[in-house]
Amino acid sequence: MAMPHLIGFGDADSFYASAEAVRRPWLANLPVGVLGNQGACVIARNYKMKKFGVNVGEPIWEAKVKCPDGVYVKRDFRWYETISRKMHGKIGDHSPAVEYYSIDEFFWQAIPERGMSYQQSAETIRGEMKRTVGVPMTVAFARTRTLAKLFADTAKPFGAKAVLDRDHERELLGKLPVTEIAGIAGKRARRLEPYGIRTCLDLADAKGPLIRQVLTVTGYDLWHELNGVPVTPIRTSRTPHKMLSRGGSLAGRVKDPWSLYGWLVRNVERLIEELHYHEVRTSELVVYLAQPGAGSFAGVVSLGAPTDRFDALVAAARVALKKAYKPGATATHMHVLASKLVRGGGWQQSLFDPPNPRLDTVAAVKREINDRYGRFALRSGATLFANAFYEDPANEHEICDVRGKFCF
Amino acid sequence: MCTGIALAVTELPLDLTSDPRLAGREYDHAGEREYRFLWWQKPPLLPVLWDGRLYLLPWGSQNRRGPLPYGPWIPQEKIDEGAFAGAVPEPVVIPAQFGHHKGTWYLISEGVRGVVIRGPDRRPVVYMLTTPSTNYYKNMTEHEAWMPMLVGQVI
Repeated sequence: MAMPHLIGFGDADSFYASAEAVRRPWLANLPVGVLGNQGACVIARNYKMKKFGVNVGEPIWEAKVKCPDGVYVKRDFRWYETISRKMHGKIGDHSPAVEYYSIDEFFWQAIPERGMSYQQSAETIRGEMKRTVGVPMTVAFARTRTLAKLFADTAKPFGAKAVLDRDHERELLGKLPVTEIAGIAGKRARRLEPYGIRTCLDLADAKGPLIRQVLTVTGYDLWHELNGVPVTPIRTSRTPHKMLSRGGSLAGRVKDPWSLYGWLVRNVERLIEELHYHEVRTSELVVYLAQPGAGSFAGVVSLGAPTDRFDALVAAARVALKKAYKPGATATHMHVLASKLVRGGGWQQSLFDPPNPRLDTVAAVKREINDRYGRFALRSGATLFANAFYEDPANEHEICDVRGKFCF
Repeated sequence: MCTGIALAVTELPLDLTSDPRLAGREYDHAGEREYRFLWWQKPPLLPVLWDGRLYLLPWGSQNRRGPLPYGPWIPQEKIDEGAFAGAVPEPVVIPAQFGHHKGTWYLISEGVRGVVIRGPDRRPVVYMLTTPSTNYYKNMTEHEAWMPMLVGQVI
């Protein structure tokens, strides 16, 4: 009998903590928590720390009360990316089509190893990943992506599960609350409640048109997938971005307008890196600013012509920041967003955007220096207003700098 | 600041593990055996990599009126200013796997930078070097203003 076509899904267990144990094996036996960008919250913890009730997102001062023996590690996204790329490569040894879904999750076109069942193949990949990369990973095979991801969650940690037939699927789906499905939480789950839909099996057994009506087309796609009908194929390269953004926390509370300007220029420089990498220009710039107490506001500026030039974007960003900024308020987060992207070749020069070879040369030199001597080796003098952030090399590489993945 | 460090038992050379001053400093850390060197232990000691060898040296001074700098730490800027130039401070490394402050154990890649200063009796005493805390360290340790200077690492 021919083997069915299945989707593989791999999810590294406690990825950041596991990646730390790859280079420091003695951490594997201790409760480990990885701290986020500001050093205040646990963004990942291993299973030993989880046993003490420490949750992701919990502040360190609460975590250390629950787990006094816990060891805290500063995040290192450069290292996590190195391990993530190795995992991606390793799965590529087993499949011609691999999707880089997130830094620690992968989908792939499942092909059973020669002479093995799917279950044996899942166990083989799991074992090989641990042996060669050093990271424990849970592997699941199922008829669709949604099913594979759900079944991997039931097999964690370090599980391997192949679910081939409908009876087995139904047995597992009946045990899972509908909120286990990525994309169905809170509001959507409450909308399903009046129809008696509480488990994944309830959702799969519901009438398709009803689900389409209640959860729109996205939910309808999930319904198909729960019933074994693949909707989303394996995507071996990322679909082009509709918008690009850079920003995040301001590493504390910022009141001084000049410091805010330093952060603005930092985010614009990072955004330009992305525009260049993706070979796009932006026609619109948005600056979001969160100022607790005053609120969160956005300033939007339309650019005369699509651009990726520093001078034009900084000038626009300043105007956008002025629109979003409430004088006297303290800001905690900022995002600079480039929308209405135009791909290479699709832009036209306008009267207001004459070619400027001098500025193009300066931009090229800046890129080359930073490529050769390290990111931010050459940066705008305005970023000196936020200089403390540059003194820590760990801030050079953040999770959003891991390119090619579909999810944050 | 850093009020103590920990080092796996296996990280200390055998001749040092028989040192009677280590008594009472061996701990079980979630199933792993380690030595802890804490400022409040009596006497406070630190392992010190000095001239290519590992020693156990007295840590800082608890005597406010003595000839040695008071406390367990010396800011790097004081050394740079030449505040203790007369005592000829020698740079050393304090090997550590974890640092401790206000109940938080944090990872140390290699060790902490320190200086050895000799008192009037010529006996060496080690101090940790400190520097103003990064925002990250402040958050991690609940607003501590000073952080240890680490080897090849910034927290």
